[in-house]
Amino acid sequence: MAITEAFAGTEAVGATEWSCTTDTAGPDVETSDGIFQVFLDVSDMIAGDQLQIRIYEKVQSTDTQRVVYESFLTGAQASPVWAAPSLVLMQGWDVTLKTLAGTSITVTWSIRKVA
Amino acid sequence: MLMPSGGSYQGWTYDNWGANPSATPGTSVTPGASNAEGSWTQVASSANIAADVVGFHIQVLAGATATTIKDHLLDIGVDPAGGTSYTAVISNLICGESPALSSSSQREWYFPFGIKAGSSVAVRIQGAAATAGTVFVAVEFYGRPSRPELLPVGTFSETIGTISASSAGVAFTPGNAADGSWVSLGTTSKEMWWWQLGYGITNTVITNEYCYIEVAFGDVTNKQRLLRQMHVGSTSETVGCSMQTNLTSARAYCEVPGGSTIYIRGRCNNAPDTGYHAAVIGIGG
Repeated sequence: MAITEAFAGTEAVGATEWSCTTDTAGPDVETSDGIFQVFLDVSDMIAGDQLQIRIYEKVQSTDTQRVVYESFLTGAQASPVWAAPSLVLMQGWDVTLKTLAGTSITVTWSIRKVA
Repeated sequence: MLMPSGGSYQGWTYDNWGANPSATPGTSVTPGASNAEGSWTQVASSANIAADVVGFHIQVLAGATATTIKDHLLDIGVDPAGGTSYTAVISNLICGESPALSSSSQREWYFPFGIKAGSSVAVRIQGAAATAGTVFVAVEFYGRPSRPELLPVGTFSETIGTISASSAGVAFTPGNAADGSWVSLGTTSKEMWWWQLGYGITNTVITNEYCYIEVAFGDVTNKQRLLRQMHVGSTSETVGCSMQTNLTSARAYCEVPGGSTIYIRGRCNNAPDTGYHAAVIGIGG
């Protein structure tokens, strides 16, 4: 199995939920399959910031896309590189970012794929 | 699933403690009298619960009255919409004889229990005394975890211990400077993993004594400890705890199979007051 960087980008994330697969407002629907793990550089976060991280997926391809994992980072991060659990994704997934508190948070992401 | 390690920070909280600290934090609740159930009293509105709740701390205080039996049973109810019709998610938490904040011991619990954002939360109290009095209930809710995969969140509870018509749990007699006999509280239905102790003393005179109260599961000959706390009585008929290890996951977390028998016993520093009774709350899901 090969390990690749499937998606990467940087965004000053504001109050609009942002897709890490399309680098546009999200969530969107990605159907490439594999074992995916998200890495985020959140070193821009300061006291008072709050970042919502969501991973969406469909159970079956015809189902509604729903949140399968959700994390909230608050304030300056002692460990400024954040990693998600690895998930097997395939049916219509996305990773999104949204600032819940603070004006905007600049986040760099890398979504690594094992397939 | 490859799993990151570490702890989880909760990025959202709500509490009903009041803007300024006081001797009576939280919401004033009027129990039912003469063993009647009280009315639901809201402690958090749907607007207050702005995020999915992953757990909450609750403290009950100022319910004791000198020379009076003040056994109380607390239900915690949730209404996912509207705040007009509550369903108990935790039932019959024994919380009577609760002390004022000036006491050296307190009555506190932590429940890692999930509540959907937008729900309303209320409590109601069944009281043994003919004169209901008031009780203060202070609650803090937690949500938006940074590492939800590290944070078990329960979806159901069981109360283990039959509640009597006089608003008491299962009677047990602590030993005098020795362990008392194990008493069965009852048997679990489902597997659960979080344990909180509710106990009280049905007596018009509660003395200033100390008692280890120990909860375990197992069978007649082999038992595994779940909790041990130290009861501190006071001469103003209050019941509280010191060394509240039930607030730590190191003590409160234990996976117990469904069908397990839960036991309790006590060890007092002197001849114990009569009237000790208990029921435990298990959380699972």
